[in-house]
Amino acid sequence: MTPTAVGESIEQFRERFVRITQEVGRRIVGHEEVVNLTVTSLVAGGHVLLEGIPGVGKTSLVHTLADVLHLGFSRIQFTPDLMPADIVGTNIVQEGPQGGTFFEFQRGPIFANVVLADEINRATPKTQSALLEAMQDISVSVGRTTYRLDEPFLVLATQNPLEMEGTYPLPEAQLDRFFFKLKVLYPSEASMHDILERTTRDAATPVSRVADGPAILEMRHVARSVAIARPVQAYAIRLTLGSHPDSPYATALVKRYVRYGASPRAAQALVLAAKIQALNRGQAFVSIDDIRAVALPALRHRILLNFEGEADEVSTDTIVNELLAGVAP
Amino acid sequence: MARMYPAGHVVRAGVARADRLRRSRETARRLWRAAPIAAALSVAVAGTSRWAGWPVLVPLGAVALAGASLVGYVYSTRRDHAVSDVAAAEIDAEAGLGGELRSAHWFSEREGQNPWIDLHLGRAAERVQGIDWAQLYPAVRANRAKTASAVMALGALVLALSVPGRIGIQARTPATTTTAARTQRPSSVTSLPPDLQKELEALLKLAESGGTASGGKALTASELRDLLARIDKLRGMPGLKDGKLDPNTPGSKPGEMPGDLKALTERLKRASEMGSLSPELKDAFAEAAQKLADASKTQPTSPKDPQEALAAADAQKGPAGESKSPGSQEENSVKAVKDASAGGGAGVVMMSSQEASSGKDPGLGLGGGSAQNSGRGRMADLGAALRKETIEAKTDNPGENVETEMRRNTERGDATVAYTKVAPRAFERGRSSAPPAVPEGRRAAVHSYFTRKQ
Repeated sequence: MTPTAVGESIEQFRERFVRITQEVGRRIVGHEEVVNLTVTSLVAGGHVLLEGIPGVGKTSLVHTLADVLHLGFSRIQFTPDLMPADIVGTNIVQEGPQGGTFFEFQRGPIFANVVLADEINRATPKTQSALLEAMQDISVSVGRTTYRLDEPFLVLATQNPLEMEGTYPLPEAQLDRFFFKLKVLYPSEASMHDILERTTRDAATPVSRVADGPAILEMRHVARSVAIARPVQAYAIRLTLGSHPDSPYATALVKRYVRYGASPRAAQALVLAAKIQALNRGQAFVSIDDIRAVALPALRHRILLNFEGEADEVSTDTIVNELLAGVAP
Repeated sequence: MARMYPAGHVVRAGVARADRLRRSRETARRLWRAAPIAAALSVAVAGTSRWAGWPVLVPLGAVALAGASLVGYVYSTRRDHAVSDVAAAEIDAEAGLGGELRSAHWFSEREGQNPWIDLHLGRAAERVQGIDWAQLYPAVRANRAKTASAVMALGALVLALSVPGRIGIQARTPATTTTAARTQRPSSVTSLPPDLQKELEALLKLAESGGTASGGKALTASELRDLLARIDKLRGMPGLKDGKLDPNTPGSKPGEMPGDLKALTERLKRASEMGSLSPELKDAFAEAAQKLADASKTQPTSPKDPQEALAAADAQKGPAGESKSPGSQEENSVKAVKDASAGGGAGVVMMSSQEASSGKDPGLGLGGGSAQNSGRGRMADLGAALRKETIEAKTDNPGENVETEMRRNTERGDATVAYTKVAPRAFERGRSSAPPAVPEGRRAAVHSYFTRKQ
């Protein structure tokens, strides 16, 4: 591969990325950053936890993304009585053509490219954990058989931050497997106009399929080829280590309110997402600004507050922002 | 196969140039911020030096030190060295390159074959070449700082090299005077006056020839006395300091007589021991030898240094030194401080030495004027000792051996301790008055009384 071919790959990546986000943006209004980071997570091979109040377009975002990418889509509505088999699938008895019976694996909704786990915190931890293997290894095990999931595989989970009663907060191990945690904020007044105009008409806003699974995998390969200088990578490591209260890079808030800091997965997410951000800028290198741009969604759900932090209702966003301000680039 | 990236050289060169310009600019900014301060300090030092009369080397040294410090700082900061990642990041931020230069600088120092890095470095090299670093880091002008520094440095030099200060003149004058005075001293005598020496030689020849003159005539006692009287006159002769030979006599050491006088004295002593001579002649020779020895003794305690003299004068002005100068031997000598208690104990006695042969100053000091410590007794110690004595003397402590009231009264009486007119190093033997002369008519009797009859 020559530098010229690399330059062409970068341009192709950037073009695809922009087309995807623009196409999603035709239906999802006022959430450009969420769309950008969701696509980033898809390209990086990560999963996204979307947090927001009901009605801000979380489910619509996932639907639209699946439509734009021409990928298999499934939706799982998490409820307290949902069982793991309802997600993964189960063996059922089938009758053969010759009259015999046999077990046949009935695939669950997890077998899709884009899985919407709606209100994931309403299911029990047992059911939530059914997603662990799928999210980490892109495979599910049923009985003695392991089934490989199709790539690209993307879990988009949503949770409601207001209704905490009757919910099961996600365990740390589960949270750590999400590449990003994105907060879907309430749209602005101008965005509300667009939303109303697009959703109250007779005809729905059509979107076209601008990419497919192989294109996403190719983009993933290109993204991982981006070079990153050691000092920039060191900054991502310092940010990650700085989220630990006993680290020399820890800030005052971290020392006071944090019980456990981010795992190495956070550093992986920082670097990988920064590479995609660099490609979106059309560059072949990762800069400090790329790291900083993705630090908040990559770290906020990986920081576990202590009792004092919970009591003082400290936001992990505040802690991450202080880290960004305190850790030298 | 690993290799250095081709575009990396351009990136490194560009970053190095930018770093050099940046450091120069920063150095110049700091330099011209510090230079006026250093120059002002130099002016202050020069002014203070002029006012206080310090040597001219002090302000010159201050100016030189300030200049050397600034030059050293400039030299140390402008030396070429490897550009650090932090410096590259700062240059990158100042050039608005969005982290590309920093990343490229790091990759430019590595080897490898990665088309992505090739592309990265190639793009970075193009951007680096397109940047006018001299415009990004323009030279610091700082005209006002330069002018102020130059003016103040010049002022410091003018102050330092101009007319010395008032105190400087005053401080130098005594030393010059002293030096001149030393150089204007008359050359000291190295021997006796020629006529006296001739007579002594003749007298010695006479003694060595059997006590008769060259004409066969024996030397009379009156002639001998006349000779002795002439030797006595040596005390008043020029070249003799207070009756003694000048200690600055070339070739003589303090406390020693010149070689020719010493030989002459030895000859006189030998003559006084010759059995063929009459007792009068032997006495005359012995006396002549003694007088010559006395006259040739030097006085080492005379302060040579004006500062020592000043110190001695200050010591006289102390609380104990009420009198300005010793007026007589009695005033100078004995003022004893005795323990008022009957037992005596560790009495502290200060007295001047009366031994003529010691040749040392009585001085001041605990336990009297010892040879080494006299004159070096500290007034604070003396004052403490005197206060102690006064207190003890005032105390009505009869002691065990006091039996009578009269004794007690004596002991209790106001034993006011005082020592006056004791001047350290000021006792001069030449000021002592000689005992009254023996009348001419009784000299023979005195001689015969003190002379052993053979």
